[in-house]
Amino acid sequence: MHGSAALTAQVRARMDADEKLDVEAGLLVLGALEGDAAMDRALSEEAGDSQRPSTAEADAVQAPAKRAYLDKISVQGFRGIGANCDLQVPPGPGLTLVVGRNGSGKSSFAEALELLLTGKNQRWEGRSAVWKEGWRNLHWSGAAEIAATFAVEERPQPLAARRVWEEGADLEAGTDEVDGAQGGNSRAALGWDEAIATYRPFLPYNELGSIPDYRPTELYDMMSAALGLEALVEARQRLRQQRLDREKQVRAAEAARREWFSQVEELDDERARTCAQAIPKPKATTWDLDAVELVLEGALEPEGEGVIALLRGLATLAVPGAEEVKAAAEELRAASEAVRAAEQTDAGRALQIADLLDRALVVHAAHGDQPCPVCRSGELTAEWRSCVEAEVQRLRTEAATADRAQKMLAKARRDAQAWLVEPPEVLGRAADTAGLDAAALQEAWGGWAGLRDAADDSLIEHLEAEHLNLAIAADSFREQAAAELGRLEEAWRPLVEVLRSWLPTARDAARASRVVPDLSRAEKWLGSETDLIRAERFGPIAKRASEVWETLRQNSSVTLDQLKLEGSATQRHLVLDVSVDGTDGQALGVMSQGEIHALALSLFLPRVLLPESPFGFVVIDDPVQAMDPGKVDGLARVLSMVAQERQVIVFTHDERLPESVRRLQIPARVVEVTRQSGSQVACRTVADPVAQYLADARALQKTDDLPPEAAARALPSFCRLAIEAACTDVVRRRRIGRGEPHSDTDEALNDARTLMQKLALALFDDVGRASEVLSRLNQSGHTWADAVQWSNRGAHRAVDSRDLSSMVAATASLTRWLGRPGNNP
Amino acid sequence: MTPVEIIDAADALVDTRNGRVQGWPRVAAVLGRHAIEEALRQYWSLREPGLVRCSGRAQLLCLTVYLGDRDLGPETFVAWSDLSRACHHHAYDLAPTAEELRSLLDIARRFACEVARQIAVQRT
Repeated sequence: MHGSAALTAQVRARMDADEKLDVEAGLLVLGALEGDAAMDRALSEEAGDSQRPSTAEADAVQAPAKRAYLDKISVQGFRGIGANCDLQVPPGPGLTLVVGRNGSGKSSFAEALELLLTGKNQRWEGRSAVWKEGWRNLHWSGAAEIAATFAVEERPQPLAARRVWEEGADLEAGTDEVDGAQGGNSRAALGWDEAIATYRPFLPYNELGSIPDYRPTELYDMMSAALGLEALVEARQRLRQQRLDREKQVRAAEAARREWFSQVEELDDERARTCAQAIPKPKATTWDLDAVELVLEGALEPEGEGVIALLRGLATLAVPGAEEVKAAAEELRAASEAVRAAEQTDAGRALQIADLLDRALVVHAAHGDQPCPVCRSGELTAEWRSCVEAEVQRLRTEAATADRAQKMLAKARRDAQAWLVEPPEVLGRAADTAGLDAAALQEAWGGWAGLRDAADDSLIEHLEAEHLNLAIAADSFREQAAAELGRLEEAWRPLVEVLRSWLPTARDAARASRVVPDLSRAEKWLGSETDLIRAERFGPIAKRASEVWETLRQNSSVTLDQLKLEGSATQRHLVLDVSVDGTDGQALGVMSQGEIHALALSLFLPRVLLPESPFGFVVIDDPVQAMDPGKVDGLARVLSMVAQERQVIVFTHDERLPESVRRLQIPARVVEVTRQSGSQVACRTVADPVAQYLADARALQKTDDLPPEAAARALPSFCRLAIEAACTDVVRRRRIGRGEPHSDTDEALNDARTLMQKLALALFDDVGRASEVLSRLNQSGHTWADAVQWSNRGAHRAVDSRDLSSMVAATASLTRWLGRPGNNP
Repeated sequence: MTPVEIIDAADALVDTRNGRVQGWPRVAAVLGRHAIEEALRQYWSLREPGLVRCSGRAQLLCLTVYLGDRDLGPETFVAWSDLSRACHHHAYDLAPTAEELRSLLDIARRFACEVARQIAVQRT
């Protein structure tokens, strides 16, 4: 898209200068300007970390378009043109008038160019098939062809576009070539596809007339297309679409929440309550979805303060195991029996005796047999020794056994007592927190734990008897807890499903809802900036349109007060404020066809002049039609103004515009198109009529294409035509120059029927003084009077062919004298 | 040149096959008028010599009365008027088209032929 880099740069500059625009919205605007991919990127950056992208590439400065000027249009077998005919125009700014009678084939050139460049023709739009089939020239049977060459700035070779139809091919079946290479679409190859619609360098007659038929929206589009703001409009549309998509997403997630939220809220379940607290309001922006996710993952439980965790604990509440308790009781019983068995033994005395005997054995070992030093009656002997050694062994074993039994008993007692634990702390909360009936278990547990200091036998009995009570109470309590847990799970599970499937969309929606305000700001900012830039760019167009209208309107009472682009979207329209004699209102309705054409030119010419347009040319088809002569002068001035900057090619069917252009001394080339039999069309550049008639007269002297006598018969009439034309020019220039209305001047010229009357008008500004003409001419000392009389006579009958050269020379000098500026009466 | 010969020359100009004479539409118109006026002079010399000195307009008006053909007189008048317009310079007018010239010259030819026929009848 042309110029969009410059446009982006302009928007960036405005962005930097605008403190009211925040970074987030700014990044979105930049993304939207760059395209869909960049828009997505900007949005993902928006969601994550927002880093300002490099702005280096934005500094592109818009280069003026390489302008193309028309060099030649060639047509063959198309519309009014049979054999190939070229219309050559001087490439570069300037005015070219292509003059030809209706049916001369001149419009075929305009149509060919338009068809070549746009693929369609304004005239044929909406016409019937019969019309579309009549595009081939009837006098031509071969291939049809339309071609144009353009001189393009900075292009060494001219650009050649061509479309050829084989014999019998349909209008749509033409093949395009650009620079000799076949291409499907010459417009695309020329790179003018968009520009041709934007700047429309064609202003056909019927388009000029259809201004009142256009809706204000259409006029808006036509005028604003040339402003090259599509990139901004598209970017804004992109932002808007993104915003709408997100709002829809958010609305959907919010609606889904509404659907089940009351269920969540009302469910007597701590998980549901946590979720409800995390998403308390309908607005997605307020949601804490991480909390919801934690609940769904079950991450709530390890913390363990809640009912669910409590119930889970209670449902699996552990009591001392039956086997273990039984084993402990057995252990205690066995230990106490072992103690009882060892009770006969005095372990201490046995050890003391063993020690005493050991010492006696030591004495005996040292001193040999001797009387017992303790009892003094016995005898310590070898026999004694062996008996006592065994005795010491026995005594020591006995003492050890008794001691171990005591220790075992103590341990077994401790082990048994250890089973008599107090009820766990959670049981205390079961009733209050989870609403369970824990009384039976509490009581059973109280009974179980209450007998710690009993004697071993009672303890054994307690363990064996009471454990069953505890186990039964615990079983029933666990069942109760499990049932409660199951009930809660059943109520919760469906909501888990709902929340699980909702969560991803909610996350998207939450993300989206955070971006929506940024998008809105971006959209709003870009919208108002677009309006400002549009107004800025449209300003010169509107100004120019007013200038054009002022020049064109001449004596019209219609004034163009205001030209503005207003509104947007479906409300967009062109404010075309025209008033008649200072009275506001729908002046379009009372404007004449000529005024409407002038208005259309005022509206359409400025966009042709935009510097961004790649078209150096503008083709205007018959703008003169329906214009009164006064307005034609205005038109000539406007065209001359446009021709300073552009190559203006005007097709016209009569001499009014060339006449005006000549009289106003506007530099212009006039090309005359004529058509002979068999659709043989010829173009020739013509001088002003006087010079042209004289040139034709001289050509008649030399031609071989006409019998000499016929040429001699025709020649005097051309001298007379030259004199008449010179008179007409003098009279028009003089009278219109002094401000007389065109219509009065034309009437005076029409009233001067004879050559003498015309000369009287030219010489004396008085049609009544025809009789003085010859004597006035005779005063000149030239043969002008002879020439006048000769040409008059020769217009009706054959004259002496020997006079031809001298008479043509005299006529030439007479017309020169007549045309001299100071030659006024 | 006889009127018919003049018209032959004019007709040839309208037809491409005979090359291209600069400003051919007006040349053809001038020749067409010459042919009509030449034929008129011959006709009045034959029928009413006094009328030759009258204006072309008067001669053509009278033609309607004198000429046996009821349509040819007025048609010739119209053709002459149209050709005459092309023989004068009008600020806004372009030369006539080939089609226009063909139909005007066709009338001129019919008139010239009629005059030639009457002269031939007179002579025999």
